[in-house]
Amino acid sequence: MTRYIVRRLLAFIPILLITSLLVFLMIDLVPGDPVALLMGLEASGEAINSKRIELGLNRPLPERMASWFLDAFRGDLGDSFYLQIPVTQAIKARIPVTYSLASVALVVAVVVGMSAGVMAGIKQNSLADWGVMLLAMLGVSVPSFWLAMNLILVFVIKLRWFPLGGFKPPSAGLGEYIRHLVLPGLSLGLIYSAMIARMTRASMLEVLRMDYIRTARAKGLVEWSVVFGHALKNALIPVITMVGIAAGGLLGGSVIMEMVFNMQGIGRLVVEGVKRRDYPVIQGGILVVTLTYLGINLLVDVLYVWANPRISYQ
Amino acid sequence: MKMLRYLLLLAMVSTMVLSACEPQTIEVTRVVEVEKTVEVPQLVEKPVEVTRVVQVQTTPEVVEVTRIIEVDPRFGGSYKIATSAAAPTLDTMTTMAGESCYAGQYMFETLVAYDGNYRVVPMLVEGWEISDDGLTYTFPLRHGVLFHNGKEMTAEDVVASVTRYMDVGPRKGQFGLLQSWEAVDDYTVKFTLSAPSGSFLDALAYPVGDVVIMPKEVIEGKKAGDLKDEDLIGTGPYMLAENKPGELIRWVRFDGYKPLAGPPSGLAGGKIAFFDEVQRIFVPESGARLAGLETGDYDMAEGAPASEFGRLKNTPGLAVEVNPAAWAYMLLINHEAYPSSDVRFRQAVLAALDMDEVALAITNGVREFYRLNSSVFMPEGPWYIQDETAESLYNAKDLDRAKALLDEMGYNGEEVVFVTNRDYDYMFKLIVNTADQLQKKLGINTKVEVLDWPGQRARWEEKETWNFSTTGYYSQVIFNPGALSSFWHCASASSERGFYCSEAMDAAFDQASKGLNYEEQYAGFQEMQRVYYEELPNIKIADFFPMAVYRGDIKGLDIWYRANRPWGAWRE
Repeated sequence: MTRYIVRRLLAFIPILLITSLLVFLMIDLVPGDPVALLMGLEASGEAINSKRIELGLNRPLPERMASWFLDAFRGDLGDSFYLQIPVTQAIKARIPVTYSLASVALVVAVVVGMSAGVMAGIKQNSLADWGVMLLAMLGVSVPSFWLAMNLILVFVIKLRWFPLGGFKPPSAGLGEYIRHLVLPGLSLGLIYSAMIARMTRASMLEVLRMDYIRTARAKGLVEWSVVFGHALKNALIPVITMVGIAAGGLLGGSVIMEMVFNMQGIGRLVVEGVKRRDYPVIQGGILVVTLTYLGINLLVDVLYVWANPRISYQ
Repeated sequence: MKMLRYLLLLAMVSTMVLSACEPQTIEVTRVVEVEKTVEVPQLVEKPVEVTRVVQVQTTPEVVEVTRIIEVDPRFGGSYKIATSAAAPTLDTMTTMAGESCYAGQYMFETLVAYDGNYRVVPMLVEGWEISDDGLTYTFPLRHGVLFHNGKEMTAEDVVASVTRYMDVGPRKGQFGLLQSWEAVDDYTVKFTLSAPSGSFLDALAYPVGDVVIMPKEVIEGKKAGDLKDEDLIGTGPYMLAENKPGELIRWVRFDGYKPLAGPPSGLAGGKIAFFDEVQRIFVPESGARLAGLETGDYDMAEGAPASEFGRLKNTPGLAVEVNPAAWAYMLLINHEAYPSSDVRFRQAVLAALDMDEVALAITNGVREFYRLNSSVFMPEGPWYIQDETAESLYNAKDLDRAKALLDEMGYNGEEVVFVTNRDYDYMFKLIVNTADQLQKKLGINTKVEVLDWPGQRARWEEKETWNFSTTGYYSQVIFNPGALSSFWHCASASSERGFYCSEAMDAAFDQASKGLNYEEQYAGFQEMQRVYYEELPNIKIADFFPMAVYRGDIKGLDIWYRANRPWGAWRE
């Protein structure tokens, strides 16, 4: 297992290289000149050229790429054209925001989704099953920003239970930290909980019809032991896959939540970087998001082994 | 109850005693403009054309804020503004970015500034004197002006600031006639021009890419990007306390600031900082800005969409105003690509367009947020020009004339490309509505290409692939028409891009810039407007006004020129 993990970690390197290369090529192909945007319409061609030289954008693409990769290996992702601070500093400040938001949303998605899915699975064709599936269908269909705006309307503007947005680090107090994450976490997590609920229900239904479950019931085990001790763990493989996909999606979905709830996360950093053609920010931001995604994938593969010991990696 | 009466009595007595013992702290500023005609000495062999000296004198009365903080209940609290843009830098000397410049104005000041009526008035100087040949401007500095680091501003700081501006300033091109600047003594600075210029004071006062005054020891030899947050030291009423790029900027009141007496007026006048602390918080999503305003998280939300006007007006606890003069939206024209390169095509477009229809599309049907105005310039500023030609051509909706012009030029259904983006709502709506009108009314073969803003901006660099796009003009059409040269003069960067170049327009600019008094400059701008309607460098749609929406308990807010400034405002 350890060898497998080390091998997977080593495989990160070419993936990150290829991703960064593709991002470099794509942002170079997309129309838009960061210098023209920075300098404004009134800037002369001379002033724009001078700024371009200052930022190193006058150099040929291969040279810029080689230089960026060399610096990146040393941990230097360059300076943001717009924010005028090192990209690593900008990312470091935003990692806790995005990771906290994605973690809370994942907890919401897994807890709500799996509970609802298990309940619907064991009570197939009951009122509860229909209710859960209806809500799941709604959850899959509703855009997260719409849900977020409605949660703000009810819980922030009308009831004043939660703050409008922003982010408080745990150092500001655990209560404040969680209060600031509840609404964005719910807005994002509930959408994915619907998908997880549907997948859990389907998987549970399949497992609950297997012979070993019939045997467990025949030997007189209580129902909760049958469901949670025998069925659930075996039903988890596709659910874990779905959770892995959801975790990746949550990173993408956090962009919208960071906008709506005014949180300074990595997603928002990258989106604004794209709008401003802030190349170092786009490069650095996507590198971190890719790394996170790879990490989640590895974790999912490791969890497979826990859920089903028959799976082993050579 | 008795105790309360005693306390009230005590407070009244204290106030009376304080009033009696303390010297009068608020005095009236008298601004006296003296215009006098100077006889040209006979000894001068070469007659000089300029025979007018303008002296502006102000009494240097200031308000001792520290003495009134404790007795004036308006002092205290914080003021939070949710902004739609983030400042790329706070070194405002180096940027034209609007958000940087608004933010910079909280903490930096210029020698002269525009007041609420768009006139240039003294700010860090007591006045100025122009030599009778129009080549020398002498500025006596105000005494006792302190930087945020406690040092008194002197002439050497002004010289160092101007020196840095001429190195890194984005508008240094507007100072092409400036030959030298020097300290005459500790409190006097002299600027020498190579030729008379009617726009020198405007260039010094222009509130974007501001020529701000900073301490010599901080800025000497510093390039753009060299200054750290701790170096951002000005003379303004607020001083920088925290800067999180792309997130928020926080200032605290500078207790050493001595505001001029009198009310605040534009960027000049008595800038009393009542709030202890001011924040500009970047909130990109307009719904989040407005929700925060309603919950009280923010005191002001900038960039509120016009579609929210009706709802916000009826929301208790909020105040809604229409910002009086802000910008004019223009149809930007590529003068190098056919058919927009043909003046008859441009005239046909002007003749056909229903400007009301375009403007209503932009403001979501709210008429309060626009005004049809045939003059290139706004009536709120000093350069408004009303003439019959403009009146007859603007918003004419004369389809017969438009079709005749197209026939005359031989337009034969060639594709006309409109380029726009979805990042700026007004740009998208303006282009889509205009293209739609031209297709339906004149049968023009229009094609709309929707990009993002950087993509559209990059497209402007291509001379052959588009015909129409859009932009907005701001101060240029209110108080500083000379700045239009950045777009309409043959020597400008825009002309390099193929936007427009005309000898007649250049001559009009020269005429205006050489004018040393209002009448001469006005004549130049009149000529500029005449050429505008003849050649149509752009096509103006209308004047537009943004919405200012803030908490109802904020009083004394001075909404002036595109933004609000925190001085003079307080929480009730």
